Amino acid sequence: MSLFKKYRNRVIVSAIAIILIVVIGLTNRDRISLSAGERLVGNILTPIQRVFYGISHRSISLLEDLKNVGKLKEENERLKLKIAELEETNRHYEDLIGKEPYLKKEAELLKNTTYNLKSANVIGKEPGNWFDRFVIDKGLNDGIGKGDTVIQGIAKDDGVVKEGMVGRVVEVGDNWAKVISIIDENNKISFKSIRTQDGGIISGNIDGRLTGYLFDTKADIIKGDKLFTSGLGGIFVKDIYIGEVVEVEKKDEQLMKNIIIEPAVDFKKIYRVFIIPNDTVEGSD
Amino acid sequence: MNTLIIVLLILANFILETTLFPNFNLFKIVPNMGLIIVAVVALLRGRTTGGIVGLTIGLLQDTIFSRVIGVNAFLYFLLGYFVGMAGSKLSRDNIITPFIITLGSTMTYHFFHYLFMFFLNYSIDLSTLFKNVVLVEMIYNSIIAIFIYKWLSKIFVAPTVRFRRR
Repeated sequence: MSLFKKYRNRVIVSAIAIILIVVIGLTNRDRISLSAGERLVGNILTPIQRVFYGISHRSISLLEDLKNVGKLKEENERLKLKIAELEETNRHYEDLIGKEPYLKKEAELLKNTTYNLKSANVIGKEPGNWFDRFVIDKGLNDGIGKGDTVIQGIAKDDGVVKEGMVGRVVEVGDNWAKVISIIDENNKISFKSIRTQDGGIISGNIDGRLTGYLFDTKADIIKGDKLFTSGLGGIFVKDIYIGEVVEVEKKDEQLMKNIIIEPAVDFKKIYRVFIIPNDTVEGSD
Repeated sequence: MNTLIIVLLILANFILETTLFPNFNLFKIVPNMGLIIVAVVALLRGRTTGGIVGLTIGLLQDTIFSRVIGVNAFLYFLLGYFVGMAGSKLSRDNIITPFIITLGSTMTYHFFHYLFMFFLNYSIDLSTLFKNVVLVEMIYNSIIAIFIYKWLSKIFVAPTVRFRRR
């Protein structure tokens, strides 16, 4: 007994360390749902995080607004031109309204084929620099399920707003969910180039970029090619914009062409995301 | 009293760290406030408090963000314990102490985190990690640690004089 007393501290420390290692081993497997304890902690903390994330987002955008005050006049001129342009197209659309009943049917059809998007706010980011994981404010109660794809609306060069890949849901709580972004090191995504339809695989990198390779060595890929998800493997929904190729390197000793991709989404300034539930994707096929 | 301060500190840090602090990045690197607080509290309050604070911060972080529970809890717990043990032998008035301790802790944390990730089947390039993340974060963390150390050493209530041997 005195031996235990003498080494009491060490015994406790080793016991806790061993318990933690066992927990790591147990939770590393694919789990179907969260444990009651994790759910409770998440349910209490995420509403608070939501408030603070909102405040921080608003104050940052206020600062950026202040920086842009100087550009206002220039922007005003540009917008006046834009209004004139839009008025013209508006007239064109009024013409279309006349054909409304016919178009309505077509619209109905389109609605059924596009994904049933659910919007959510980011409420917290993982501290540290290892991974880009975050928590969103929608969960089981809103119909979010494990494995759902998370995307963001982004503006492309030609002014069209397109979907940009963010990541996927890995665990779901009652009113919150954990999301792993595509630049996380362990995510492998199968892609295709929009120009040539060549396929390959990309995965995350520690410096916030994606690196990958093509299946075909002779495939024609150049800087500036736009990449979309191909849907192979069934983890990510297909035809979602990932990003642009910024570098292509071919090493002689390797049989593959390596590429570096700049993702379309800015993961440091992420606030509002959309979720594509898996069941609607299966329905549309 | 001190317990209350530590609990509030852990909660406030967690909420701010995950919401507000990512905006203050330098070369896209965010300081690891959790690690700084574990190191500083352990230095000031000894190994028992250090271990408990590390365990709590790590578990919180793991439950909310990570798929695998326990990696951060394990690392922060042992870090807090050992820093607390070393702290009793170091000069606490010297401002260099928290700097050096945080520098070492950050490096140790990343190294063992890399080991864990390696066995959890993540493939990460160690040299890129070191160049792009660890170096900047080490310096960033250590400088912040000095200020946190100064601030916390004022806040913690000095223990009442005890004559019994512990």
